[in-house]
Amino acid sequence: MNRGRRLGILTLVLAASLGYWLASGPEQRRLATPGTVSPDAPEFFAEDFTVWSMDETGTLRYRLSGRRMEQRQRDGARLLTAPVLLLQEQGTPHWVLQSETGWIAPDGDRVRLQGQVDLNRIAAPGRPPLDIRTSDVLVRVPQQEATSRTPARLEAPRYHAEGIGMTLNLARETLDLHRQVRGEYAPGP
Amino acid sequence: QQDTELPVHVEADRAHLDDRRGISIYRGNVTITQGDTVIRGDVVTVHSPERELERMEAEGEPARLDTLDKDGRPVHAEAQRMTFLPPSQEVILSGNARILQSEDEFRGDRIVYDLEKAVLEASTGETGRVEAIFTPGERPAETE
Repeated sequence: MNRGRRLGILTLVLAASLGYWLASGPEQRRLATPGTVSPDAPEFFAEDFTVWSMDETGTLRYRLSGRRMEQRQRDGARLLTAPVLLLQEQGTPHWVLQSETGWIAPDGDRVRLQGQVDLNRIAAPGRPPLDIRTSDVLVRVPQQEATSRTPARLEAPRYHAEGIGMTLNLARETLDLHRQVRGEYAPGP
Repeated sequence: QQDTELPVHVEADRAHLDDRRGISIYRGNVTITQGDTVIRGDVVTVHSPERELERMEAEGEPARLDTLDKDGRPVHAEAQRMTFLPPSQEVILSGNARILQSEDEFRGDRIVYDLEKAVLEASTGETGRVEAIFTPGERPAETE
């Protein structure tokens, strides 16, 4: 069989295989090779959700709501859109933390709030409200601590302060500003 | 505008703010500014119970104060501790306190200086000494 005829047959076989592969839809292609499922594929997702998380004694650790939450198959981490995190320590006014997007560790002990983050402590008798604006915050829930390495600004009636990098202890209601601190106090009444 | 009506600015390397107790501690190259008055120290503790600014305690080696008296003349003070009371515009200097007002100098263990009236009250400590050094004014040129 001369060389030209063999080449022709080979081309025909290739064309047929390619045609069969293209004819099978994306779903078949994926199912056809299960090993290649995306690790970031969601195990489940929820929209316009609210979650109450308790500790081992049944005490509320935090309440989390948001537009969307997706739990990843690979590691059980949860990705959040427009999260609103309410944290409360016994006997103290609660804090509400919100950001553009977020992430929760599989064990629920760490919450990362990404993009612009607002942290607000509501007013309480004799305690005016407190507002902090920063970005990219890591919340350690058991320690009731929120940290950031980016600029942070605290606003309160008659007083504001800003710096670069912060550590906020939500239980003790203390804020450490790490570098380049500026503060301003309004004069007396 | 009276200095008492001006906001008080603070600059520092870092700060610890305790909202519940109304106490803020500023550390490292701390500068407090209100109008013409500038206080510099290593550590400044601000007491503002329920956000009302009550007093600011500066510590340094020494802490320093610069301001102008009511006639616009420079006043400089140094002490190990300075307590600045914005509402009453007083500064309490303690620990090797000294004030230079134009050419005159006052030393004592404790000096209370009124920023508005440019009046000071010096008191002794264990040393039992208050020193005041007046520089005689320049004698008018003698006319022939």
